[in-house]
Amino acid sequence: MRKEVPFIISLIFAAFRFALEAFDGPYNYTLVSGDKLLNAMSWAMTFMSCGALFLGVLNLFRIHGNNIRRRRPHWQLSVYLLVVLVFQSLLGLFTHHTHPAYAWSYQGIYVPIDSTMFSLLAFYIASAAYRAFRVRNSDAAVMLAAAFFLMMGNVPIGELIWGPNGPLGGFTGIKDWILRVPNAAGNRAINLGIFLGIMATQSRILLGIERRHLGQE
Amino acid sequence: MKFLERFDQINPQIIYLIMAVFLIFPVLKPIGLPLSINQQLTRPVYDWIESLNPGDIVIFDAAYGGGSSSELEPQLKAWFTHCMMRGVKVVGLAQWESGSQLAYNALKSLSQELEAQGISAEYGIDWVMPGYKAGGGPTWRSMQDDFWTACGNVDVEGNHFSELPLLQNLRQWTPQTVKGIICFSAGSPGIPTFTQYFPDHNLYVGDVAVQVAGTSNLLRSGQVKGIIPGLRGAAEYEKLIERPGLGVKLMDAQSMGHLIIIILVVLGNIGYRLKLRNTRKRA
Repeated sequence: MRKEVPFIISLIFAAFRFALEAFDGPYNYTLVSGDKLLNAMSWAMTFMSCGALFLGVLNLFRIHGNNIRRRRPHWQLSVYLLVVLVFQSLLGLFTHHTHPAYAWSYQGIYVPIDSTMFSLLAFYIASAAYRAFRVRNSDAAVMLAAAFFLMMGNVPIGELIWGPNGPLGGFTGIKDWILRVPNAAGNRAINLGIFLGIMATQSRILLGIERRHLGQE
Repeated sequence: MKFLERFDQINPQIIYLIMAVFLIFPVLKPIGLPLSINQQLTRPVYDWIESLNPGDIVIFDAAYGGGSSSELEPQLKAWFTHCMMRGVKVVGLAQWESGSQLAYNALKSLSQELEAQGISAEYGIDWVMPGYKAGGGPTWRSMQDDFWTACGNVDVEGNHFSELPLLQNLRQWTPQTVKGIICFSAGSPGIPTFTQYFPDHNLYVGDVAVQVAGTSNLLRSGQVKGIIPGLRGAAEYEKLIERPGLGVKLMDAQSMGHLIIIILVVLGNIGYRLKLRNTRKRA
């Protein structure tokens, strides 16, 4: 039963969701209350999201509580995480989105921290580009040329050197062509591959061939 | 030659220092480099708002967080200012909880600035922010049938939808009631929500620069009508509405950053080639 019940539940819901997406009948089905089935389902999803959030918070407390109790390496960071989690939750529960304290927690803490992390990428990219873009073979040369045109086509200094009114539309014209033609073609090929892979995995789950998500080999 | 060979292995700390100097200097003292408008990406977004009539409703989605706000908020602010200047009504939703709060904070202060300049941007009449709604795809789909119920009838300020004059004309989200969508996107969930569930709506995108390559194929297929690309797009939009702001100011810094990377790559290759040649000679 431990194997069959989870599989039957996932099969029923997968088939239900597929029917909802694929056929007009289930999509437009109206319940006795007058609500569309789809709308009722969106409430169920919201409820499930809240349930998942609750489980996630419980799990965080369990894992980081153990870290602190057993004084594992960097346990101080676990204390910090739990303090911030509780503080921000209480702020959200007892104030409102529009409350200055709640707004400040975003504008004064979250945005500067997240922006700093994101900004560091500029330095890492500069250092990584310097080390990685070496013309060791023809493939690397093509990649370097594409990167050069994209970088110059994206900034005003590129226009100053070779403007959009020049031959071939300047750096901007070449950049746009690279994005529109070879990049779009490559992207579509990758996306098609990804979707075929997803469909294959979904079919395996639906047919019960793939059961690792249920904790089984 | 020995000196040039050293460019093969520049200390990363020196690279960081050069980068920092060349990024900070133009922010403190803008150079004012020329900036053209991208006719295929940014221009269609501007033309879309220009084509609307006063009173038309548009919806934006704030699908971003703190890290990407430095690129996407200048875009959002320029686009929102344009809407208010044209009398177009704006409804703000968010697929990211953080985006909801960040966009609300940004537009609240911007709307006060616009009001002070005599441009009508009153909350509830010219714009509203229902904000983040949990539930993913099914919630967004059900907004098309019954916008009020799917949003829980309440905005980020806690107002009931019946108290907000703007939302009296938005019971259903159809191409007739909403004259286009713009998704300010930094990742997932983001653009696919609209390409999947809103295929008959006009979709525009405000993209972080790293994502533009992935969105370009949607532009070519016609699923996306226009893209504001990264900080440069924000600067272009500010120029289009003749209100230069943060985007224009930061473009000089981005120019310098790109230039430094190109110079470093060229120097690195010179050093690499010379070292390779000398190693072969010695061998």
